[in-house]
Amino acid sequence: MQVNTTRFGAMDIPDDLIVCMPEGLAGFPQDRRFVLLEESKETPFRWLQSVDTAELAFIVMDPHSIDREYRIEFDEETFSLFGTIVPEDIIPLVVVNTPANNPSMARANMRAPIIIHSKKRYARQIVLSNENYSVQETIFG
Amino acid sequence: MMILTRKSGESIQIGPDVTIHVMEMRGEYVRLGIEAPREMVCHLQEIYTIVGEVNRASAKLGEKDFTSLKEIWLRNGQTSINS
Repeated sequence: MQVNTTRFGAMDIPDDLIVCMPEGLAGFPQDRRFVLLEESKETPFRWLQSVDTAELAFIVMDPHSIDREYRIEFDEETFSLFGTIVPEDIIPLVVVNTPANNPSMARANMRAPIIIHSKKRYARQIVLSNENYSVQETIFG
Repeated sequence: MMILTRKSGESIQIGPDVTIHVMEMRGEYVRLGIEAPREMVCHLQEIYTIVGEVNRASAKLGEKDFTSLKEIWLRNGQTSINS
């Protein structure tokens, strides 16, 4: 389907790459469909683009590139949405922001990862109970 | 705002699908049990508010920020930071 974006123009995205977030994202409850845009493999950064709102996109990254030991404990709601969880089917992402518009100070929300079930094309943002994971974890050490 | 007084072991019914049970009171803490349909996700409010604020801040980033992040990453030669 055609996805209109302000950052990348009109994009032709295969339907099976569109991910459904039934609960939306905190702060953006209206947007339910997203697409993960692949970038070069040189860096872990990617865009998570809303299908419903052209200007809405998030820079996301694999949390394991910040913390190799990063662990996601799946909650009951996630099991009921995803069914059986095979680790290979899960794409974990954390949302990036840059305080004071300074990219060298970039941070990632390690406490509330977005998890995508790559086969079912479902996603949700979960809040981990592990308080050691920061909402604003420094990316560049 | 509706204000109700309940004892431990009592509940509050909200609409047909949501029940909040007062499980236990211990000192200044109350333990609550929440029964709700799956699509009604429950979060601690302070966390949910912060996650929403951080998401909104993140949504302001543009392609310039993306390019900068990639450049800094490559300059640092990062493959995994905290390992």
